[in-house]
Amino acid sequence: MRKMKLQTMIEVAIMAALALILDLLPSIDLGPWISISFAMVPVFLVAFRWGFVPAFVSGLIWGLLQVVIGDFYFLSVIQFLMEYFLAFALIGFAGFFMPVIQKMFKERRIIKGIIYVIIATFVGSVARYFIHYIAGIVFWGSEAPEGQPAWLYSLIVNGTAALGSFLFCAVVLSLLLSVAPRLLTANINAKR
Amino acid sequence: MMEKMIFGRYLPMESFVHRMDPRAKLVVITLFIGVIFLANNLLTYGILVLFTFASIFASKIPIKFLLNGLSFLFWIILFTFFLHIFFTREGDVIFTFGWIKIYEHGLQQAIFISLRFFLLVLITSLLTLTTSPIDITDGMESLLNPLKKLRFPVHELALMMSIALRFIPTLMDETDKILKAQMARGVNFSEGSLKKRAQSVVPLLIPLFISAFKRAEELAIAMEARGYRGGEGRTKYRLLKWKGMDTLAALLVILLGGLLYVFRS
Repeated sequence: MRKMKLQTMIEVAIMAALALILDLLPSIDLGPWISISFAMVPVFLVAFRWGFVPAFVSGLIWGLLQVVIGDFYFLSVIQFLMEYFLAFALIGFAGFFMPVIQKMFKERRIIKGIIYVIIATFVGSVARYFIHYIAGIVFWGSEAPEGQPAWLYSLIVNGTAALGSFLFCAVVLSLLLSVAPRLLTANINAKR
Repeated sequence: MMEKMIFGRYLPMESFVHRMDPRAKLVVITLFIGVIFLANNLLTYGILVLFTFASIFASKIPIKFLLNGLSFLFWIILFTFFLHIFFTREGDVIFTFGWIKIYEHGLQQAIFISLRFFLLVLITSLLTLTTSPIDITDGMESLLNPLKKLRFPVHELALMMSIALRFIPTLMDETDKILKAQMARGVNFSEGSLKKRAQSVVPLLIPLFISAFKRAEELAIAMEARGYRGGEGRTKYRLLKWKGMDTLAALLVILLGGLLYVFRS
């Protein structure tokens, strides 16, 4: 991260703040603990503009912001560390597709570029919710009495949320980037 | 639309807990989380409840405020409670109704574990209710300082946190303005199918992102023009001060741990 340019660092911070704000907008709620929102979109955008490390950091900052402003639940140490420090950061995995997405959009092969965007969004969403899933198992596994299928509750809750959020983010990102591909390149070469 | 959303939970007030150094509060909470797992009988849980409510009292935060926004937690607690009450089959049967049998041990576990969640959440909420986000960030940075030796980018993370916190109100205003402009044109953000909602969101996001990128670029130029060159030798505007009462608070939690250790069964 020491090698990260100042402009990238600031963008990462502002995008994390934006993710936090978008999370407040009305989301599609399915029950008390499943909500589908497109709040991950700014972090994905960082991933497609700057790659894995900045997106990872952006997710981490988003998680930390939630902790700092008090929008979090502390139920056990492992659950807390996984859900607020690791899960959001792993959205950054979408950043591994940065080179190919940048290349496609540069060559104006928008459709193919968007297909890669959707794949990357899938990878990022799955990575994030996989951690929520594991945290769910660990948490319920240690708190629920013996013989309760913790993995099943966790799979239902987090699987639904993962799928919904992936679809919502993928649709928003495809529309966004087909209308305004310049979001991928705006100011990007200003200061390398 | 935005002004209805309560943002952040910090309540600026004047109290013992508010005046504490954020580092002390973080240390106290970390210790408390370790200590809470020592409790395992009526007396030790009683001491914990007493300690928690004494801290709430010392912070002068109204209980109603603390309980606000804990609906998610309410479900978890309820769920845990019933899981334990119905599925723990140890101890004597104390209640039978048809196929439902409630065991003594189950009832006890249900109450203790739900109580533990409740206390954990109360204490962690107390931190964010009595400490401003920027103070928590400063406290974390200061506590994590030793990690700098391991080349962990403490300063960079803290800088990004401060920038993010600084821009949240600005970005919120901007989001609100664009939302209202779009709503005046008849866009509905809170209803419709997933595709419809995604479509309505695009005209909100494009100006938001473009202006955010622009802000980032301008701020980077401004900072570099003023000679920002990273953490080394940077001085601070907000200084943290560890006072006698901070040491006292830390000692109190250690005392609490000692008490629980003595009285646990």
